[in-house]
Amino acid sequence: MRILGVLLLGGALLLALVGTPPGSPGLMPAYAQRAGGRLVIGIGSLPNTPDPHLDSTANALPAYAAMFEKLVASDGRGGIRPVLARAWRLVDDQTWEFDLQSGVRFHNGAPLTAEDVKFTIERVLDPNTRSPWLGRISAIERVEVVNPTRVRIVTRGPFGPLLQGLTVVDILPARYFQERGPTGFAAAPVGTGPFQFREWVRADRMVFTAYPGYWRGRPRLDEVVFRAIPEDSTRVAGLETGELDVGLLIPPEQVERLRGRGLEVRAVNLGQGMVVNLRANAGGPLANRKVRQALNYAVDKEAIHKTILRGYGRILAGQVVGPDALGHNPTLRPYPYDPQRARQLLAEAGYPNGFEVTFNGTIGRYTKDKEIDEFIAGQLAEVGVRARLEIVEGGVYIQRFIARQLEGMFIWAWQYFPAMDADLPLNFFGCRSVGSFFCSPAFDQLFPQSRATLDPRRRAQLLQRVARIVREEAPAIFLVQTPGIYAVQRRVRGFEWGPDYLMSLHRTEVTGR
Amino acid sequence: MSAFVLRRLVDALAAVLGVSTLAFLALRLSGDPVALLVTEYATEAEIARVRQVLGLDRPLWVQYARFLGDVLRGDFGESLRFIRPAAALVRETLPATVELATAALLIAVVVAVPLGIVAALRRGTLVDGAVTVAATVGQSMPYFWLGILLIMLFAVRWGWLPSFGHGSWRHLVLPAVTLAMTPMARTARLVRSGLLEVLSQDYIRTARAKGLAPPRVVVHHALRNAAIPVVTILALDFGTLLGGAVVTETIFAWPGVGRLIVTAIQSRDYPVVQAAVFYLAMVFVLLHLLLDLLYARLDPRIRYQ
Repeated sequence: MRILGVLLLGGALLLALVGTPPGSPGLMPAYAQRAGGRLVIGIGSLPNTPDPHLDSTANALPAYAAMFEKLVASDGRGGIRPVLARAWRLVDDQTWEFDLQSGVRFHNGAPLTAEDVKFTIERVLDPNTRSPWLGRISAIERVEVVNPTRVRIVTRGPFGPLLQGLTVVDILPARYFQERGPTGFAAAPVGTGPFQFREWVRADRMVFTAYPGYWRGRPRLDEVVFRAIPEDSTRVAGLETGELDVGLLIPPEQVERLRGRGLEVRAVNLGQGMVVNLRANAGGPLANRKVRQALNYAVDKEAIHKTILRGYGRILAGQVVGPDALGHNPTLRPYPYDPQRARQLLAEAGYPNGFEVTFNGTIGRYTKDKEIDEFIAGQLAEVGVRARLEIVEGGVYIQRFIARQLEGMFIWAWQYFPAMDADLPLNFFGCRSVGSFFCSPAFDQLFPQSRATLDPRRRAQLLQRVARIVREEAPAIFLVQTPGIYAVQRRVRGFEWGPDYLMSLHRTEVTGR
Repeated sequence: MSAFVLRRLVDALAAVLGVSTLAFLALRLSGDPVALLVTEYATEAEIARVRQVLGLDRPLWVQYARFLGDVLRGDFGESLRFIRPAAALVRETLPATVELATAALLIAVVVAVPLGIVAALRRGTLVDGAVTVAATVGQSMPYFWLGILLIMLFAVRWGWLPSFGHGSWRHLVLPAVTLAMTPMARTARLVRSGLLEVLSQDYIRTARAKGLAPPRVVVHHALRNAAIPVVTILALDFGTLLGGAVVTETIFAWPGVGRLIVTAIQSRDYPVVQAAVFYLAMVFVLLHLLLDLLYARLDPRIRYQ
């Protein structure tokens, strides 16, 4: 008996010394036995409100996606995949008919019906809602309920990018919302997503728990926590201490440090094309196409990608979107780095000694933007173009853009997630676009044609032709698709962050702490 | 006394109103919020519609008259971004900042006063020199640098304290110490110089001559007389800590009013900025009123007319 005791004790000690073999549940602490657990995500900011129609900031997207769902989503390859809509078809060139998934229930138990879809879209369209997403679906004229699982959306004229617009509209439960009102709903929001709302503490945390009745099966995690941590260094510290399981938007220079600490660091190319827009519609040197092309030849994109971004991100091939978007043109190539050619073009355009131009830059709005601003200014100086760099605060920047007050050159990242469609950024390159900075008759003829085209393949072809015009006319210096670097603890399985800015939370699990 | 308080309250009201008016005008001069409310993909017509819904298409004086009327009723309007009453937002975030500022001030006083006393009593010695140098370094250390350093040491290297967030007292330590550094250094120097001045006064010599114990002389006679400038600076510091904790709040992901104001300014969320400015001005002005009343307790020679 005593010998047995000694043996048992010895065995236990030995096991404690060599550590627990992975996947031996009997020896693990109770809370780690079940796959699942709690995932803590460090992100720069949280939604302003739990109401998904009222915040369009990028960081709000993944938090909302934990508890709400749309009719459709991007498939990450330029196509659209079904979510709450099982199938769709065109009835005529202004009427889209959607069949809803069966067996979908909101977190309060109510089944998803066509009434919910109608209510949701009408709410976003109502200017009193003040939804920032209104612009994406403003082509919708009305929504008709055919039967409880079938709904029709009627647009004003044929509108090709309708499905892309619907990738941002979270479906809300009509009856529940009407009973509670907007304030009551924001206090206890209900969606159809894999997780249900538990807590939202402004600028601090947002907590979700697994929804057992999720129509695609209960998520593996028990709980998901989003923590708002605006400072990059603090997010990195939180990963090092283990307080965070996942940290988003890690600065490139911190990657090695985190890897050295045993964290897994990955990167995704986000659906966001960084360029320097050139105000081509206000006279001066930038009105000349040769000058705009010269500026493209003068900037070494490889150096930005390799040195400043340390190889993260992806060089844009002379267009504003990457190969993950509908409308990407695979036959286009980036402007090569060729200062000689740049000088020659400047001379041909009548500026052999270069010229002076305002360059509006930002700090902390995009990854490494300040360094990129300064690098570009230096490169332009080498071909004789003296760019006066002016750094503008983030909020003012967009105002000035819309008011067309950003003169000369201005850095900009054209966001095309989560729809992953070139239509979104290109919509700004028209003569009468909001904040218009460029005007080309060829563009203005072709782009509206693409919007009125309903067949996705045909629409993509038209957008590719538009992209070729934009590359030739060069109303921008094309730079890179911005990187989304993120770090994950080894104990986390199945977590992925996509180009559409969304996460694979439904498949994620945390094994043992 | 009560007449004095009443007069000061009227002054305070005027000051708060003045500050609010300035905030109103400064915000309107700095840009249009509508551009930030719609997506970057909105059309001109949508922008115009949103502007109309918000009443921002009205002349400035109409907006101002409406603003004043609302303020008098305690209504700062709805936040443009959060679609909730702006005053409620400020009231929700203010306690976290008050908690942080109070903790920082307590740390500053508890550390700085003894240091200042020691330095004054040991004037010209190595101890005095060390305190003075430490105070200078402390006062010139940027919050940002200090905050990150503390996280690196106490959270990452030693794992004693959490690196971010709000909740238990353990979350409070690092941000409070970070924020305490500047007032701590300033207070230590002020206590030292104040004491040195007082210690050379006749009444201190008298106190010593009549045989009082040295600690009693310092605490009861000297410190009390040196307290007025120290208390004044501490009260001012507290006001600054409330409004100026932005950097510390950002580093430590502390959900306070500082971060609320910064995001509100960035998104031109007029009502929130106006409400926050109003509340902070109120706190500041009340603090000064309290301070004036405290002077009389500290120094019975002070009388209110």
